[in-house]
Amino acid sequence: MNLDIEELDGGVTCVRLTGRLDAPGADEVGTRFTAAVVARGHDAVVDMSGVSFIASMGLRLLISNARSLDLKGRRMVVFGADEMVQGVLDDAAIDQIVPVVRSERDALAALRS
Amino acid sequence: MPPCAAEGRSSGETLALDVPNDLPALATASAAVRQFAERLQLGERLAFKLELVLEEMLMNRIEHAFAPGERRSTQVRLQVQTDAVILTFEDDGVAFDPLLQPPPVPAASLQEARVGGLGLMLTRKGARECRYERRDGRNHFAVVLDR
Repeated sequence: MNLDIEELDGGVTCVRLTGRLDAPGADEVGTRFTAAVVARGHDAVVDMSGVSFIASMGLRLLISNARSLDLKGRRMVVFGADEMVQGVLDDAAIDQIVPVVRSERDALAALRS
Repeated sequence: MPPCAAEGRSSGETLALDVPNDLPALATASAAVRQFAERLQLGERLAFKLELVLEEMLMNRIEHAFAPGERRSTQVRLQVQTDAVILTFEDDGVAFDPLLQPPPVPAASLQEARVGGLGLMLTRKGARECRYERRDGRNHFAVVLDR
Protein backbone atom coordinates (compact mmCIF):
# COMPACT_ATOMS: atom_id res chain seq x y z
CA MET A 1 0.00 0.00 0.00
CA ASN A 2 1.46 3.34 -1.06
CA LEU A 3 0.42 6.81 -0.05
CA ASP A 4 1.34 10.06 -1.78
CA ILE A 5 0.51 13.46 -0.37
CA GLU A 6 -0.05 16.56 -2.46
CA GLU A 7 -1.03 20.06 -1.43
CA LEU A 8 -3.63 21.41 -3.85
CA ASP A 9 -4.59 25.01 -4.44
CA GLY A 10 -6.87 26.43 -1.79
CA GLY A 11 -5.18 24.68 1.12
CA VAL A 12 -6.57 21.23 0.37
CA THR A 13 -4.59 18.11 1.19
CA CYS A 14 -4.84 15.36 -1.43
CA VAL A 15 -3.93 11.83 -0.38
CA ARG A 16 -3.47 9.39 -3.25
CA LEU A 17 -3.67 5.75 -2.19
CA THR A 18 -2.33 2.90 -4.29
CA GLY A 19 -2.66 -0.81 -3.58
CA ARG A 20 -4.81 -2.86 -1.25
CA LEU A 21 -6.66 -1.04 1.54
CA ASP A 22 -7.11 -4.24 3.52
CA ALA A 23 -6.04 -4.85 7.13
CA PRO A 24 -2.31 -5.18 6.33
CA GLY A 25 -2.51 -2.17 3.98
CA ALA A 26 -4.40 0.00 6.48
CA ASP A 27 -1.93 -1.02 9.17
CA GLU A 28 0.97 -0.08 6.90
CA VAL A 29 -0.21 3.43 6.00
CA GLY A 30 -2.44 4.29 8.97
CA THR A 31 -0.01 6.47 10.88
CA ARG A 32 1.18 8.33 7.77
CA PHE A 33 -2.41 8.80 6.60
CA THR A 34 -3.41 10.37 9.92
CA ALA A 35 -0.30 12.57 9.91
CA ALA A 36 -1.10 13.72 6.38
CA VAL A 37 -4.77 14.37 6.93
CA VAL A 38 -5.53 15.09 10.58
CA ALA A 39 -2.27 16.62 11.79
CA ARG A 40 -2.25 19.15 8.96
CA GLY A 41 -5.81 20.10 9.74
CA HIS A 42 -6.77 21.09 6.19
CA ASP A 43 -9.75 19.97 4.17
CA ALA A 44 -8.75 16.73 2.45
CA VAL A 45 -9.61 14.72 -0.64
CA VAL A 46 -8.69 11.05 -0.87
CA ASP A 47 -7.93 9.60 -4.31
CA MET A 48 -9.00 5.95 -4.36
CA SER A 49 -8.41 5.38 -8.09
CA GLY A 50 -5.29 3.31 -7.37
CA VAL A 51 -6.98 1.14 -4.73
CA SER A 52 -7.64 -2.38 -6.01
CA PHE A 53 -9.26 -3.81 -2.87
CA ILE A 54 -10.86 -2.54 0.32
CA ALA A 55 -12.18 -4.24 3.45
CA SER A 56 -13.60 -3.03 6.77
CA MET A 57 -10.21 -2.05 8.21
CA GLY A 58 -9.76 0.27 5.25
CA LEU A 59 -13.22 1.71 5.84
CA ARG A 60 -12.31 2.16 9.49
CA LEU A 61 -9.22 4.16 8.48
CA LEU A 62 -11.30 6.49 6.29
CA ILE A 63 -14.07 6.95 8.86
CA SER A 64 -11.82 7.53 11.88
CA ASN A 65 -9.72 10.13 10.05
CA ALA A 66 -12.79 11.87 8.62
CA ARG A 67 -14.19 12.03 12.15
CA SER A 68 -10.99 13.49 13.58
CA LEU A 69 -10.90 16.06 10.79
CA ASP A 70 -14.54 16.91 11.45
CA LEU A 71 -13.65 17.69 15.07
CA LYS A 72 -11.27 20.33 13.69
CA GLY A 73 -14.03 21.81 11.56
CA ARG A 74 -12.56 20.36 8.35
CA ARG A 75 -13.97 17.91 5.83
CA MET A 76 -12.82 14.86 3.90
CA VAL A 77 -14.15 13.76 0.51
CA VAL A 78 -13.36 10.41 -1.13
CA PHE A 79 -13.21 10.06 -4.91
CA GLY A 80 -12.22 7.86 -7.83
CA ALA A 81 -13.06 4.38 -6.50
CA ASP A 82 -13.32 1.66 -9.14
CA GLU A 83 -16.51 -0.36 -9.49
CA MET A 84 -15.74 -3.12 -7.00
CA VAL A 85 -14.23 -0.82 -4.35
CA GLN A 86 -17.21 1.50 -4.84
CA GLY A 87 -19.47 -1.51 -4.25
CA VAL A 88 -17.95 -2.01 -0.78
CA LEU A 89 -18.29 1.72 -0.01
CA ASP A 90 -21.94 1.51 -1.08
CA ASP A 91 -22.66 -1.66 0.93
CA ALA A 92 -21.21 0.03 4.03
CA ALA A 93 -23.19 3.23 3.26
CA ILE A 94 -20.06 5.29 3.76
CA ASP A 95 -21.51 8.09 1.67
CA GLN A 96 -24.03 8.75 4.44
CA ILE A 97 -21.24 10.14 6.61
CA VAL A 98 -18.33 10.87 4.25
CA PRO A 99 -18.98 12.31 0.77
CA VAL A 100 -18.01 9.85 -2.00
CA VAL A 101 -17.81 11.24 -5.53
CA ARG A 102 -16.43 10.17 -8.90
CA SER A 103 -13.68 12.63 -9.75
CA GLU A 104 -11.15 14.98 -8.17
CA ARG A 105 -13.06 17.90 -9.66
CA ASP A 106 -16.26 16.67 -8.00
CA ALA A 107 -14.39 16.24 -4.71
CA LEU A 108 -13.09 19.80 -4.76
CA ALA A 109 -16.56 21.06 -5.66
CA ALA A 110 -18.02 19.13 -2.73
CA LEU A 111 -15.58 20.83 -0.37
CA ARG A 112 -16.71 24.22 -1.65
CA SER A 113 -20.42 23.49 -1.32
CA MET B 1 7.71 -21.09 4.33
CA PRO B 2 8.19 -18.61 7.22
CA PRO B 3 6.43 -19.50 10.48
CA CYS B 4 4.06 -16.54 10.26
CA ALA B 5 2.77 -17.48 6.82
CA ALA B 6 -0.45 -19.27 6.05
CA GLU B 7 0.25 -22.83 5.04
CA GLY B 8 -1.94 -24.37 2.45
CA ARG B 9 -2.46 -26.95 -0.21
CA SER B 10 -4.56 -26.96 -3.30
CA SER B 11 -6.14 -30.09 -4.70
CA GLY B 12 -8.31 -29.84 -7.78
CA GLU B 13 -11.11 -27.52 -6.85
CA THR B 14 -10.40 -27.27 -3.14
CA LEU B 15 -7.94 -25.02 -1.33
CA ALA B 16 -7.08 -25.67 2.32
CA LEU B 17 -5.17 -23.17 4.43
CA ASP B 18 -3.97 -23.11 8.01
CA VAL B 19 -3.77 -19.41 8.86
CA PRO B 20 -2.04 -18.16 12.04
CA ASN B 21 -3.75 -15.20 13.74
CA ASP B 22 -1.57 -12.37 12.48
CA LEU B 23 -1.59 -9.86 9.62
CA PRO B 24 1.31 -11.31 7.58
CA ALA B 25 -0.44 -14.69 7.53
CA LEU B 26 -3.69 -13.01 6.51
CA ALA B 27 -1.89 -11.33 3.58
CA THR B 28 -0.41 -14.66 2.51
CA ALA B 29 -3.80 -16.36 2.72
CA SER B 30 -5.40 -13.60 0.62
CA ALA B 31 -2.76 -14.06 -2.07
CA ALA B 32 -3.33 -17.82 -2.05
CA VAL B 33 -7.08 -17.35 -2.50
CA ARG B 34 -6.49 -14.81 -5.28
CA GLN B 35 -4.17 -17.17 -7.16
CA PHE B 36 -6.55 -20.09 -6.67
CA ALA B 37 -9.46 -18.01 -8.01
CA GLU B 38 -7.39 -16.95 -11.01
CA ARG B 39 -6.35 -20.52 -11.75
CA LEU B 40 -9.96 -21.68 -11.70
CA GLN B 41 -11.08 -18.59 -13.63
CA LEU B 42 -13.75 -17.68 -11.08
CA GLY B 43 -13.87 -14.08 -12.32
CA GLU B 44 -12.75 -10.81 -10.77
CA ARG B 45 -16.00 -10.08 -8.97
CA LEU B 46 -16.19 -13.45 -7.21
CA ALA B 47 -12.46 -13.36 -6.43
CA PHE B 48 -12.93 -9.93 -4.83
CA LYS B 49 -15.83 -11.20 -2.74
CA LEU B 50 -13.90 -14.29 -1.65
CA GLU B 51 -10.98 -12.16 -0.51
CA LEU B 52 -13.35 -9.82 1.29
CA VAL B 53 -15.05 -12.64 3.21
CA LEU B 54 -11.67 -14.22 3.98
CA GLU B 55 -10.27 -10.96 5.34
CA GLU B 56 -13.32 -10.10 7.44
CA MET B 57 -13.61 -13.51 9.06
CA LEU B 58 -9.87 -13.83 9.73
CA MET B 59 -9.71 -10.31 11.18
CA ASN B 60 -12.63 -11.18 13.41
CA ARG B 61 -10.71 -14.21 14.67
CA ILE B 62 -7.49 -12.17 15.11
CA GLU B 63 -9.30 -9.51 17.14
CA HIS B 64 -11.73 -11.58 19.17
CA ALA B 65 -11.17 -15.33 19.15
CA PHE B 66 -8.01 -15.70 21.17
CA ALA B 67 -6.22 -14.14 24.13
CA PRO B 68 -3.83 -11.29 23.29
CA GLY B 69 -0.51 -12.65 22.09
CA GLU B 70 -1.80 -16.20 21.84
CA ARG B 71 -0.44 -18.01 18.77
CA ARG B 72 -3.32 -19.94 17.20
CA SER B 73 -4.67 -20.52 13.76
CA THR B 74 -7.84 -20.80 11.72
CA GLN B 75 -8.41 -23.60 9.25
CA VAL B 76 -9.83 -22.23 6.02
CA ARG B 77 -11.26 -24.34 3.24
CA LEU B 78 -12.40 -23.05 -0.14
CA GLN B 79 -14.46 -25.48 -2.20
CA VAL B 80 -15.55 -24.73 -5.76
CA GLN B 81 -18.72 -26.42 -6.92
CA THR B 82 -20.65 -26.18 -10.17
CA ASP B 83 -22.88 -23.32 -9.11
CA ALA B 84 -21.37 -22.15 -5.83
CA VAL B 85 -18.19 -21.51 -3.89
CA ILE B 86 -18.07 -22.41 -0.20
CA LEU B 87 -15.65 -20.79 2.24
CA THR B 88 -15.45 -22.48 5.63
CA PHE B 89 -13.61 -21.31 8.74
CA GLU B 90 -12.82 -23.50 11.72
CA ASP B 91 -11.05 -22.56 14.94
CA ASP B 92 -10.94 -23.47 18.62
CA GLY B 93 -11.24 -19.91 19.87
CA VAL B 94 -13.99 -18.32 21.93
CA ALA B 95 -17.46 -19.43 20.82
CA PHE B 96 -18.80 -16.81 18.45
CA ASP B 97 -21.87 -17.01 16.23
CA PRO B 98 -21.59 -14.25 13.61
CA LEU B 99 -25.23 -14.76 12.69
CA LEU B 100 -26.40 -13.60 16.13
CA GLN B 101 -24.68 -10.23 15.83
CA PRO B 102 -26.99 -7.28 15.13
CA PRO B 103 -26.33 -5.34 11.93
CA PRO B 104 -24.55 -2.00 12.37
CA VAL B 105 -26.90 0.91 12.95
CA PRO B 106 -26.68 3.59 10.25
CA ALA B 107 -25.04 6.65 11.77
CA ALA B 108 -26.89 9.94 11.80
CA SER B 109 -23.62 11.85 11.73
CA LEU B 110 -19.90 11.34 11.37
CA GLN B 111 -19.35 11.82 15.10
CA GLU B 112 -21.88 9.11 15.88
CA ALA B 113 -20.45 6.68 13.33
CA ARG B 114 -19.24 3.39 14.74
CA VAL B 115 -17.13 1.05 12.66
CA GLY B 116 -17.85 -2.16 14.59
CA GLY B 117 -19.91 -4.74 12.76
CA LEU B 118 -19.03 -3.61 9.25
CA GLY B 119 -16.96 -6.72 8.58
CA LEU B 120 -19.75 -9.15 9.42
CA MET B 121 -22.23 -7.08 7.44
CA LEU B 122 -19.93 -7.13 4.39
CA THR B 123 -19.46 -10.88 4.80
CA ARG B 124 -23.19 -11.57 4.76
CA LYS B 125 -23.97 -9.09 2.00
CA GLY B 126 -24.52 -10.96 -1.24
CA ALA B 127 -23.95 -14.40 0.28
CA ARG B 128 -26.42 -17.08 -0.72
CA GLU B 129 -26.18 -18.64 2.71
CA CYS B 130 -24.19 -18.44 5.96
CA ARG B 131 -24.09 -21.26 8.52
CA TYR B 132 -22.62 -21.39 12.01
CA GLU B 133 -22.17 -24.33 14.31
CA ARG B 134 -20.28 -24.83 17.58
CA ARG B 135 -19.12 -28.45 17.58
CA ASP B 136 -16.55 -30.29 19.69
CA GLY B 137 -15.35 -27.01 21.20
CA ARG B 138 -14.74 -25.45 17.80
CA ASN B 139 -16.37 -22.71 15.73
CA HIS B 140 -17.49 -23.80 12.27
CA PHE B 141 -18.65 -21.02 9.97
CA ALA B 142 -19.48 -21.43 6.29
CA VAL B 143 -20.28 -18.81 3.66
CA VAL B 144 -21.86 -19.94 0.38
CA LEU B 145 -21.47 -17.63 -2.61
CA ASP B 146 -23.05 -17.98 -6.04
CA ARG B 147 -20.66 -18.56 -8.93
